[in-house]
Amino acid sequence: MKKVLIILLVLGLIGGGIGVYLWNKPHRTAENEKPVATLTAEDLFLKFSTDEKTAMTDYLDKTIEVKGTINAISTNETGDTKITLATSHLLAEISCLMKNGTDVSGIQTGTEIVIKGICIGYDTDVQLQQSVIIKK
Amino acid sequence: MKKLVFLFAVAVLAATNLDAQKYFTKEGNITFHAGTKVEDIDATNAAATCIIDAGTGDMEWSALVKGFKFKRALMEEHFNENYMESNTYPKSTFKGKIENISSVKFTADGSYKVKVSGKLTMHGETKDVTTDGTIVVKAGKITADSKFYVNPADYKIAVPSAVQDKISNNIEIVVNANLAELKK
Repeated sequence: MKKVLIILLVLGLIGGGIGVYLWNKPHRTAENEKPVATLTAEDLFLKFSTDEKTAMTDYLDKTIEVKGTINAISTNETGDTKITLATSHLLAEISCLMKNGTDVSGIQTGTEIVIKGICIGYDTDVQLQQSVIIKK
Repeated sequence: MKKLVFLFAVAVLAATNLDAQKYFTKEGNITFHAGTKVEDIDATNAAATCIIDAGTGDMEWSALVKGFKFKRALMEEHFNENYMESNTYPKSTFKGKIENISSVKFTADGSYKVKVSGKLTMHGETKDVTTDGTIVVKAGKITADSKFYVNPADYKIAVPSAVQDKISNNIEIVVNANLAELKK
């Protein structure tokens, strides 16, 4: 009888532990993911603007590494840091939302950067989120 | 003389048409409140594209579903995988019209009440939406605001009975955007 109670207690603790873990689970970020592709900002933009369907199959929800020239560094409405990379199109950029706590000190517009992020699709921009800086 | 008046009228019309500017942003905000008294379920997307044609009143919004940010990762995961199925339906759009566009003076600073109607597409389903909004014109820039409600069932978003008391069937969607003239 005592044994059964102990087993139930342990199971309960494990279940509760899993529940608490899931509830407080951290957001998925690009940090520890291996990129499925490495490409320039311009190439990424062209892939989406010329054949969105194929690009979506290749990159949606996947981590990719992008190299480009910084257009702007800003903080958006949800408090996230955003780094945009230039493309040849006037309005389109690669828009990278950075992972919480990303240090952007010493980063300047007009300079080159390599960013790894999770691709969430193409609207006006190709958007990456939970990104990290690979090389300044 | 008649001919002159006609020519003048044509010239005026042409000029108005040329003046008809488009306003644009790709940093529009869409926030929804899908929770009930039991639990808060809020998320914001700060990267929505919005374009308004000042001449015709045409208005378009689009947002990437995966761009909605939740405080809790688990909620974000459920939202994408179980409810919106964002791998299959990655984008939500609204295509509509500002019905009373002529009452908005884009050249004069002021706040204008507008009526908007159009089609909202999400989760692969398209439904008519009509709502009221405000357009504020200030120094050549405009701010557009609105709020409306949707029922997930209308968009074939199934809510399991186990969480039915947690997810509202009257989800509040708040949109606002600061738009600037789109240079051609």
